[in-house]
Amino acid sequence: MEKEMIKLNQGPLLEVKDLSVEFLTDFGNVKALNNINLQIKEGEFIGIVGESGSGKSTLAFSISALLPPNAKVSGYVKFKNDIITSPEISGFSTVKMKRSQRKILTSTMANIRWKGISMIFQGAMNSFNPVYTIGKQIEEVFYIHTDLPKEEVKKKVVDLVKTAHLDPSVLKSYPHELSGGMKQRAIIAMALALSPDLVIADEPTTGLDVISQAKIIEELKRLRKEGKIKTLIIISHDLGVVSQLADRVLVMYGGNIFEEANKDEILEKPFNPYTFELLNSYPSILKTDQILKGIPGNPPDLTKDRPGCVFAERCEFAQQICFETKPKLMEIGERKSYCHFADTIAKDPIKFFTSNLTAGEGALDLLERSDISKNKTLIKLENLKKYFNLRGSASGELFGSISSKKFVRAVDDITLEIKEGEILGLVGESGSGKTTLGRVVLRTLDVTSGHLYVNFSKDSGDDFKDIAKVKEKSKLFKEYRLMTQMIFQDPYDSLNPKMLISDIVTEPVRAHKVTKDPMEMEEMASYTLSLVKLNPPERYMDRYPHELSGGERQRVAMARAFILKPKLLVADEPISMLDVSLRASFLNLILSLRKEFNLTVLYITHDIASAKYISDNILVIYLGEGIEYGSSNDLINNPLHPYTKALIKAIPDVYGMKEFSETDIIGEVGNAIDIPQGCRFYDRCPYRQEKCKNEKPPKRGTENHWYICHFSQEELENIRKNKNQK
Amino acid sequence: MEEMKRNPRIESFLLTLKILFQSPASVFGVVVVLIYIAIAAIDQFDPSLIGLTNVNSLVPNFTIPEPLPPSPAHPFGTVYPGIDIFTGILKAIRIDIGFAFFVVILGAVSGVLIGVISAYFGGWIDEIVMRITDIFFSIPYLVLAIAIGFFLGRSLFILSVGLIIIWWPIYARVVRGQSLAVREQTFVEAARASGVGNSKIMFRHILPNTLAPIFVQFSFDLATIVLTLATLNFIGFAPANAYLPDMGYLSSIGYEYAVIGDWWTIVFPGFGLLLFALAMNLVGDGLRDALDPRLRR
Amino acid sequence: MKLSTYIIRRVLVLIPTLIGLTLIVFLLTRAGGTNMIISSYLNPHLPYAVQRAMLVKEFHLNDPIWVQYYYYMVGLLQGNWGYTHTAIYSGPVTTAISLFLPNTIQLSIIAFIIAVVIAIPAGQESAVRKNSAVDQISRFVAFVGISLPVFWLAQILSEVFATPTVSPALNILPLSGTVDATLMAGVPWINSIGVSNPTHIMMIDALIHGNLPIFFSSIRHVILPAATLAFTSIAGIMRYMRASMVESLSQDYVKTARSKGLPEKVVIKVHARKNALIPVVTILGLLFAGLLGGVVVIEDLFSYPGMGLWTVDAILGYDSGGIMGTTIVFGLILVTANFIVDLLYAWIDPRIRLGE
Repeated sequence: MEKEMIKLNQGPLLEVKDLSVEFLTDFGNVKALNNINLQIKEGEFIGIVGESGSGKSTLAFSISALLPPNAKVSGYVKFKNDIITSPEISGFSTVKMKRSQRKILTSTMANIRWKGISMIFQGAMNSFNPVYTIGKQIEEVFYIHTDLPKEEVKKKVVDLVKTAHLDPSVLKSYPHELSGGMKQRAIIAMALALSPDLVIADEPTTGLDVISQAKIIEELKRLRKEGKIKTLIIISHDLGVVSQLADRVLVMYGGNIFEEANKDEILEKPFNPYTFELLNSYPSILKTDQILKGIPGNPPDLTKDRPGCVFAERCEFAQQICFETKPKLMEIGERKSYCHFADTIAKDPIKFFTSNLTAGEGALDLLERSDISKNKTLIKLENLKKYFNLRGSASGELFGSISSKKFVRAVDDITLEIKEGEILGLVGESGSGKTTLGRVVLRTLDVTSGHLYVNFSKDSGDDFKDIAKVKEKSKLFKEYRLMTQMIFQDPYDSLNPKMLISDIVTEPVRAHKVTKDPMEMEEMASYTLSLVKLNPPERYMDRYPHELSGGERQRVAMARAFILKPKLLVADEPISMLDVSLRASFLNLILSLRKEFNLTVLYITHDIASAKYISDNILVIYLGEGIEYGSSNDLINNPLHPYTKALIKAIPDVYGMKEFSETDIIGEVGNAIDIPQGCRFYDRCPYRQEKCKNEKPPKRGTENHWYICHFSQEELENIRKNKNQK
Repeated sequence: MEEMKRNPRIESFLLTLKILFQSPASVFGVVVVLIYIAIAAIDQFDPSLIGLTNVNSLVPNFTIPEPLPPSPAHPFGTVYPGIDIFTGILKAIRIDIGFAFFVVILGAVSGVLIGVISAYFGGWIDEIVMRITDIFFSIPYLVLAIAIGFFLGRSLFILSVGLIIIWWPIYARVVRGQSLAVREQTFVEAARASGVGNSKIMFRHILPNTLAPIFVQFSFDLATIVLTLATLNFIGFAPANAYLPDMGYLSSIGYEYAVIGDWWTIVFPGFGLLLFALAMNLVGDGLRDALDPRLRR
Repeated sequence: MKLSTYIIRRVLVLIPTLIGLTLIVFLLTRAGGTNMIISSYLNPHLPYAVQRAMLVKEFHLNDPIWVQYYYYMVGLLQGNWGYTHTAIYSGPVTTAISLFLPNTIQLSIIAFIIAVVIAIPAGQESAVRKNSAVDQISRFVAFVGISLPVFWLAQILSEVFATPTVSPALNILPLSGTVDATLMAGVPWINSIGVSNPTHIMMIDALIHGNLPIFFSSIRHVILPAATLAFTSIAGIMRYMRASMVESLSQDYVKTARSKGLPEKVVIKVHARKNALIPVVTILGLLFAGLLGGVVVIEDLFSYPGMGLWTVDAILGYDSGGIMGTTIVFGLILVTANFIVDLLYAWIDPRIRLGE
């Protein structure tokens, strides 16, 4: 008996054996997982990385025994001694399961759930029930799984939230009253309630701001050190996040594990073409003049049967055999790779990936930056402000006295110059006012005060006119509309679902009455579609948006924006909803249009790494105010403002691990209503002093790289040293 | 291989039909509704095809006034005074369906326009329109229909005008709600940034995207209006000797005889109503699925 | 927004609604013409022309329309609602209301409770077992329920359960009235025109005074009309509850609850149901409106002396006073019901209760 126990402890905590999962839907069977094998030992931190449709979530559901009834399973998942997912007890077969069987299953699962396996869900979403308090939802776990008396449960719950660095007052709050970061900590607290053997974290930081994300990652690292989390599976689309936490990383694509290896090995020397190409899609702030390639094509349609490798159609290294037969997951020492050429790659990865490379997109010259400082100025913003009135319904006004009238200062006093042909990155967290600024510049929102000078000159001279207050019906305004265009974050939302692609793309042509000739319009549409690399254009013209993938739609949006060759393009988070592998090629598209047509771009993003990749200059914006400006290399290699410093430190970069200490930044992003009197960053700044509270900070640094702060760099360094001594 | 020239609009319509016809209940609904519409059309254009004369009135037969049970000569029996229920129902279909379409189409069109205007202008216009709809929603519609019919005149036409006045607020609300939701989608802003004018944005971008729930509401309302008209006539809106070909009126004259055991006097007219309303509701339910963008991906 | 602010706001919205409600009725009567307005005040034994001149002056019918509305409102507020002359009651409208309104409230509330008690669990079960036989059957019943002509259902039920000539075996329930008339004779807490004290609602008053025969008799009388009325509303609530529950069951927090190892029963009852109920509560007001429409027909068919029966008699008797009265009262019932529903909604949803 005792011997057996020991033996058990040496075996894997979790074993996935030949697991395949198919979902039966009205549109065919989706093969979500193919023959997955995986073993996890106690104490390991495993990362699973994949894009949408890779099967990573299905794997998480299989491991936590939460497959929906339309799932058809083969193979099994074993946790300790219990089978928790198998053809007999999961998905499809549960519908017709006998009552007695179900009872047995329920009682086994009751033991495993939360005591054995607990989950950390994406907290920014709906993981907490909106109608109950956080406290009640955590307590519930104890009432179900233990016999502890009420007082003891309450005490335990208070201890739990304290471990997750939360104030016990959150227990009385409803989910909607907490910020994303706080909710996420509460979810972590709940997951640790019964000290589970295995914790599964499914996209635990998605939807959070960069700094909150860094803090959650720190939190998880700390909990591992303290022994509160024993074994962790972290699932994410972001290799950066996974690489911060995991010892071993699995890369998934199209329902298969493509590569499995230790984190460092996979980052340094991938043994699989997909991993190689994926790594080439992440912009890094640590690498200078890195050329991102991205992966061409679209994510695979998993309802289709294919004889060969699921990645073959997009793989740059694909040979005849890749399309004809499925590869096997080959073991190379401790590592595994799903590729016909895994052995060859393993012998000399660098040689393989460089010599077998088919002609790429030639992105190299895109990064060649011509000196834009001599270009003429296209747009000048002077003290630009945009306030929103905060008001409820008409009847609510009756009760609000005039003195309590509040504004949201979405954009507050921004002064800025954009040169022709420049790509300016506008970086900020959500709520920073970056999107509003983009819209004010385009005048889809009205200006509250300040000036917006636009250079209307057709030649090299200057012809500035202030259009901040120009009426929408005026000729000047229409001319401005013709000069500007915009692309948006959500490719599903930004195309009218009831219009054909050809109509969508030619809409600006009709709006500005450039031509009425349908033939000419079609030609323009066709030319522009091929310009954004939707080839052949005829294949796209007569389609509706819902027939296209996210990446294709974003290119359609780009075609619509570019058909009249505008001078200024405002791109509001254009890549944040695309899969990682598609992002790089979209960024390259912007760069190539700039190169060819001298396009000026205002690139709005929360992702400072992508801003670094494409921008010439970057403006960091915080609560409506520009707080640091500089050329992108300068700003990232040598950040001056405490906020920018924290922001750059917080990026989970694939190529570097940083320790992120609690003193680096305090709290979460504030709101633009109750703005501190002095420095806007006062509430969160780790360097803050008395005078920051009430005095407006001055502008420091040079014209080409300035920041707003009371202190010089030496002074900041001294404050830091003093603080650390204490 | 040469790709066939496709017409995406027709394809999209066919897709709707395909999803709709996946459910047998919807197929049943569509078939029944088509049969009713066919009967109404025959009544209107060539009633002699099905042996009807005088489609605007029920024909009494005072020689045998008392109700007769169903027989080959009177498949659904007769009701006092000697009215053949089968032909009565055939005639009633035209009146009832025609009435319902008249009310719902005009109600929907005016409601949609008012709703669009309300959402488009916003501000105090929107506030006023919404308060007006509140008022209409504060009186049970049947009671309001009674009041309107009572004070303005008890003719079918007045009644239909009354019901239009009652029905537009439903559409105004649905369209306004949808428009506000669609207005927030970025393709509207994209159009504005492209320089598209306001009215084009309203009618080309916003309105077409609000239509799916309108079609669904339309189908449900056809059923409701047919039932409402029948109910009004049943409780006595049509005078006792009106001989109005309406299934509610037929039921009301059959009522007294049903109590003494002549079941056919109410069963058939009621069933005629039930079948149409059920079919229309099933179509509406099917449409809701067929037009659901989540299911069309 | 605090709950108190929410309530105050909601009360303020009542004002334009009530003005609008009276305005609609006022405009309708004015559109009907002078004779419509004054007919219920006429005494057939006196000369018409003199009476007409007096009444035109009394109601300011020659004045501009807004002046007329002012006097109309003053009349309403002073309790001067005119006269009604119908088969079941002839006299002041206000007295008629005190006579009929309690019965209607009793009937509609019982029907509404029956409908909610059946429809909410049925909709929930239907959603939990989506596409099963239970679901298919209950959905079909719901569709039939929505599509049934109310009067037809009422007829069939009354013949099956209350007509000796049609079904002697099942003739177990009374066909008309609110209570056995013989039981009411000489009961001190029922006044001469049949209004019970102190609440005016017969069933409650019978319990207060401990008169069980009257209590059970009034229950027996309310069963058929209430059941019919309930059936018409069940379908709507059930359909909505099902859709809402299906939505709720697909939410992330339900997934969280399951993964926490909560028994499926708890997942459904504690986590899914409460969220599913929130949108259902918002449409209960609309459904109550439909139910009040049904009241008119059902009270008529079951000769249940309430607002509905009075309405129908007023239609048949061309009685304008009755129609004006019933329209306003039905409006007031619905406005009140909507108000209660909104409070319920605020109470059930913490996002409103606690707000920002």
